[in-house]
Amino acid sequence: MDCKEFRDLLDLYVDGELSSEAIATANVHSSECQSCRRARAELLALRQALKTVVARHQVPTELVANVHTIFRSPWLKLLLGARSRAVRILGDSIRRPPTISKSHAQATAPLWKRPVSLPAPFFALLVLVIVALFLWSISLRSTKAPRADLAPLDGQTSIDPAHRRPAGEAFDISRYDRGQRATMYKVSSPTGRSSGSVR
Amino acid sequence: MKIQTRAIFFFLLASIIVLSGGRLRSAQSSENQSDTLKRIRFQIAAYEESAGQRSLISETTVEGPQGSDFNVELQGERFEMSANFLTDLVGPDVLKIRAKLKTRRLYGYSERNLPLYEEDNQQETLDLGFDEKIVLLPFGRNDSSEQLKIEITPTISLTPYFTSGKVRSLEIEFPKISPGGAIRVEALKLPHNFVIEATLLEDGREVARGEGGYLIQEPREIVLQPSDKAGSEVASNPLVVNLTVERFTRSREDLISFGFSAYRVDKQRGNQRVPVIAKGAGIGAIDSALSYGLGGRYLNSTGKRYELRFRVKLAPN
Repeated sequence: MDCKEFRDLLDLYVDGELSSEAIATANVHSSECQSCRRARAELLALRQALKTVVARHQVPTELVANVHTIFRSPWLKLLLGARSRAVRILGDSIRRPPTISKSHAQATAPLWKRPVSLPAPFFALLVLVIVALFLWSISLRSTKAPRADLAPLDGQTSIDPAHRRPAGEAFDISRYDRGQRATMYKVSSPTGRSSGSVR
Repeated sequence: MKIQTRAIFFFLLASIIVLSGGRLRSAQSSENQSDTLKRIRFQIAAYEESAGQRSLISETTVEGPQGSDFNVELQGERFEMSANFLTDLVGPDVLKIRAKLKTRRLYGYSERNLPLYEEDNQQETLDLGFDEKIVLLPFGRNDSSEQLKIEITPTISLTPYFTSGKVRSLEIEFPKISPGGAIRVEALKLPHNFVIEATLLEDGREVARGEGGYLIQEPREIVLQPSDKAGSEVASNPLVVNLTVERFTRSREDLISFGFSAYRVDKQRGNQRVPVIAKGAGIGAIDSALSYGLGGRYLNSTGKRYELRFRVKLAPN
């Protein structure tokens, strides 16, 4: 492990969230590298200082009372009740081992074989939308006088590039600069010979 | 109601097929109508060439009706370039491109540690066919090492309408953006063609008139022809105006700025040109009149008051 890797993992290392191998490697590096050892000590000192500062401040008693008042609101109880039910269901599904049932068999079936419960009004609305789109597309064939308007960008792309520079690579134009004057000319043949050179 | 998912898929698929069939037919009819409307597409690509290898750095396409303009800017820590291109279709397959190239390079620092810059301004007019392209070398020619090259390739596009029937306006796309935004391209569509009416007034009466079509940044001379009301002095000393429309500014009120010089042609002295106004300038709204008192510079002997008036209009279509 080098210093860069150590610094990248420093937060996780101090929190004890690394794997045992990584902790061992970090320990070895910390014992060998004075600056990384100092960085670890500084981070630990910072965290301890933060804990001390936070512990000095007490929660006002009226804050606790206000929170209780808010939570007595019936709408909030309804919302929290729904959330807690969702959390309970999720927890149960994680704890309980999976059982194979008819619904499970249906869920694992190919997509086009799974039944879908669709409200009739929704299906009717979908049909209406599609019919409306069809009629609109027919109406576009009529010859109207075109009007100028702002238009969205066309999605077409142009010719393939010869070779693409890898994304994210830094681009420094100064390396092309030899102190010469800019020039411009036109190329009139596919072989690239210039003609009518301007400069 | 329970429906098999596949039924929904088939239904949606059939709907898409039916709808796309209608849109394809309308697109074809649009193409048939577009023969008379040409759109020009410029592909602006920046390449790095080094040891025979060529790699694409950025690519931009600008597509718009005739007269679309674009600017290419290059920005580095010690160098910046601004290239402005005015384009006009002057023939079936010929583009007139007027380019202005400005570069600024940090040269060094003075004794007082102030930056010193090396600046360069170039102006060129090129007639470009659609089998040609412009090559711009911001740092000059350098075959021995790495070189940055910007190529501008025009093509004709024959799709002036969207399938909805709307006219396509100016479009710009960025298939590949340069790293760090070092190369920027912007496009704009402003009027290029104008009609300028010049009138000579003698004590408030029109005595000579001239009119001409102008292409932006192209100087042109018009001769004010004396009218029937003109006296012999004015008839023998017609006024000639050399005018250039320099800029069109689109704002709350569209403005045109121009520069001009006016001469009196003395027919009695072998058509000698006598300057009346040198390096005049004006900015005015479209269709507004701009007047310039000539004082005693035109015909001092008549004792009359002469005034030169311009009216700038946009050319039809």
